Amino acid sequence: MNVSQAAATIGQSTRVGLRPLIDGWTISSILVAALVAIPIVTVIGLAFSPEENIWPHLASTVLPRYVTTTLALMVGVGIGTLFIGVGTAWIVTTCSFPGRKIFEWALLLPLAIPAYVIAFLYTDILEFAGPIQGALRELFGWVTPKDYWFPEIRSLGGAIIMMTLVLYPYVYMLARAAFLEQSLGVLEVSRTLGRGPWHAFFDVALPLARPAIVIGVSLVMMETLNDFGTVDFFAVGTLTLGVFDVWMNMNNVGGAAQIAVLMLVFVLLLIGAERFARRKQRFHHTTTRHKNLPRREVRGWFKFGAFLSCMLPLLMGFLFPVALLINGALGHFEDALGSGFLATAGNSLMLSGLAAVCALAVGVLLAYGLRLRGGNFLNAITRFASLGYAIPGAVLAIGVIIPMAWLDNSIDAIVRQEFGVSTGLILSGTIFALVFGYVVRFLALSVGAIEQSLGRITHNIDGAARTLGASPSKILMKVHLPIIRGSMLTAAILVFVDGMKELPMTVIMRPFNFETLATQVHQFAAAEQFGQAAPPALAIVATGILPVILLSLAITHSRKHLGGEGAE
Amino acid sequence: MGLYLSNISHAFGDNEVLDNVSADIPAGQILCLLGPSGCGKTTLLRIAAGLEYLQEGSVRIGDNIVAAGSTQTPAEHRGVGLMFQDFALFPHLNVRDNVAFGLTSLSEIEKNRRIQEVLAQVNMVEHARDFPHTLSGGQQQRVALARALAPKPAVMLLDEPFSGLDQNMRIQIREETLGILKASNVATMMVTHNPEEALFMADRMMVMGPNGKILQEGLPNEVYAEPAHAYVAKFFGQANSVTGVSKGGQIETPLGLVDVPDCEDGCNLEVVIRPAAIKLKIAGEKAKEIRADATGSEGVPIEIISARSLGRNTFVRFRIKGAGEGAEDFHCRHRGYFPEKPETEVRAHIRQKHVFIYHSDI
Repeated sequence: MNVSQAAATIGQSTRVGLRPLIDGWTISSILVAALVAIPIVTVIGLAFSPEENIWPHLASTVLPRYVTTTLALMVGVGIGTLFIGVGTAWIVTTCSFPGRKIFEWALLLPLAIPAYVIAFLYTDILEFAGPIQGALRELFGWVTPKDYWFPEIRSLGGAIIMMTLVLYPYVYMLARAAFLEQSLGVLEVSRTLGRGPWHAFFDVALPLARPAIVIGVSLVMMETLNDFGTVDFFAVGTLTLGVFDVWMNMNNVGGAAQIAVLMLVFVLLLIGAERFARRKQRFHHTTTRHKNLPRREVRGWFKFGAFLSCMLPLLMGFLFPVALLINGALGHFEDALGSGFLATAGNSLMLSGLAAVCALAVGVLLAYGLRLRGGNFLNAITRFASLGYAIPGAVLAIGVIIPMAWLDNSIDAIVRQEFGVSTGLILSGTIFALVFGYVVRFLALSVGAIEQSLGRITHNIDGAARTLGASPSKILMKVHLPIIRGSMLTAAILVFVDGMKELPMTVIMRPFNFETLATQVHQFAAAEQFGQAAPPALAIVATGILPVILLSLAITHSRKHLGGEGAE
Repeated sequence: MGLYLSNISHAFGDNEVLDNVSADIPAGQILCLLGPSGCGKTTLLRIAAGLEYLQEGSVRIGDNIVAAGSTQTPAEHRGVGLMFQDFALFPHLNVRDNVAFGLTSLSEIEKNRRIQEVLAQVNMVEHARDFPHTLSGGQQQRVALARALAPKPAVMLLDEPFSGLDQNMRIQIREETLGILKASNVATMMVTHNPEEALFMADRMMVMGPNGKILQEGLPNEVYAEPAHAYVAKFFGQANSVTGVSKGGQIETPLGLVDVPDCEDGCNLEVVIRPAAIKLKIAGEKAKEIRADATGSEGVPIEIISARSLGRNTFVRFRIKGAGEGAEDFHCRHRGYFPEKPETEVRAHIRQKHVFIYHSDI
């Protein structure tokens, strides 16, 4: 037996219960995975069976503009987040300057603010009637917009800046983790081989971190593609906006689906880039021995530069917007209470809570099903079902609504035929549909987290429990779930917070007159009632800070205990 | 109640890891399955435990056939105890609750009594409230043993139970474990790649080759003294091996002629020479007596490549004098000190007793 065969043997034999018979766990895992995969399949299916071909019309009118704008936005945000994310990650990892320890986690904070919130906040400040232009006019005696030039915030450039400010933490987080994982050895070796610190960065550290950076930028671009609130507010005609326009204003679902399919091409490219980078990442680990990189004491202007480079993104992406929010919310809190803020918040909490619980349950089912049996089919369908994170909410909404409407119509037809009663719409336009959409979109968060922490439990634990008389379900309840409860909580919180922020799917799929905090922010902002928008926006941001704290704790924790799970 | 494995074969895809393996282990007996890393020995253990689906053959515990054909009793209903190399203690439960995990059918009083009993047996009573991560390796091993024994299984399966321990701890723990297993009167199958451990623990011993075939079965002593196969002979300690062709009832090796009484001329043979078979003698030193079975009493002149002390022995690597740089080298353990650069000529003698001859065409 050669080494690779031996490795294959060991790999397979560590799996518990490699049974050729289909068991209950596998069947339920496959069914659930298939259910979650339906929306994705639907959107792809629509691409190949257009009911009404509006391509020629779209292509001759708005489509070129949608595509170029989307591309410009994605590239712009990609480059912006790349510079800020990698730059700040390198500075806090290798330089020593005042406030570095705080910046390490504080640089993640902008993640708590949805792009559509920061967009309306800056608009309020920077638009013609806002305080800054007003002050300038006062100062120089200008009267009309024709008297002077001022950058228009409601523009493609404005959208790029807004999204960059809140999305760069993705790149920062992954780049920083990659820099931390690089062994001291390679950097020191490069120094002893005659490379200066700049060369060490560009010749060694950056190439080693490249896969992580590619993943970060791919995630950023997926979020950019997903965004509806900002581009709608700024009237930047992206594909997402196109889906809404064709659907809501032209009432053409088929056409919306066709634009959605075009977006899927973008998504596939991004997923491809991300997967490719993840594969490469495995070979980029230089050693398992970790040691903090030596930090250089920077002096004088460099010290000031390092501080400023970290302070600016934090200030513009978090501190300043939050100050504005608090200020706005204080003035309008009583208004908000009067206009049903509590009911709206209740809706958001219920929706996100349900989504978190469901995503967690589905995640446990799929991850444990994979652990019990593995198998290529189950693995493939689980991966496919977890693709929702990459697919823009507007596109997923189409994929959810169409099969649900079909199901509703079928039920209605059958019941009418048999009993002469119309059931109407049972699923479409209900909270059920919305929660299902959330679960599909955020499933990757829970499956990923649960799979990862289950993966850290040796399969011998299962073997020991089995021989001590416990069935697979009992092992899950008595052994695995208690061990991974921390990660489960993290997963639930991540889904919950993303649910609180979610806008495009909610706007499309919510029941009539059903408002969440996010839709309320969107509506008030669209109506330029920025003060009214502040209390719900502040509520979203406040919940959004939770996962940031968790993430920073998790990063510190994993650095301290590289062994991972186990210790109480 | 014993454990009886009959004609078990198993493959992962095209890769056959067990080839028609059978083993009978009556109650109270310890069978050690010795084999290299990556052969099918762990798979055999998992099949016996019910953690791996049986493909061919049968598994019987006492009078119950637990696996054969479509009968595949799941692990949780077999009543076997299993101990892993990494101990696999439940990290979220303390020592007491780890041990209690398998005691589901007992009343609370009986359960507590049994927990006390096994914890006392492994000397871990005062650690009952401790969590696994606070225990040393040896203590974790004891808990794992207590946990596996607590439900009074008819069969114990041990997978490399001592390789997670450091050298000194290993010697102490394996003696304790042997005592406890003997006292429990359980049928035990232990797999290991460590020959010394297998010799120490085994009532009977089986050696598995890399292809999943059992090469030899017997009493530990027998297997050591009369290895039935070149692979088995080489498995106990790093042996020297040379090949050659028989002629006139003898075969010529670089270390001298060796008798091959039952061989016709022209047989292709493999000669396995254990380090213990080679005696080194420095010219001019007072000759220790060369045993009567030594072949060619004048020995062969050699040159030393290296001599590294192991304390009681010296590990000496050498080659035949005049054989040139590329020639194969030999090694042996010389009792006591041996100089790395001896001033006078050194000669090597071999003793027939630790030399084994195998037909290499088979």
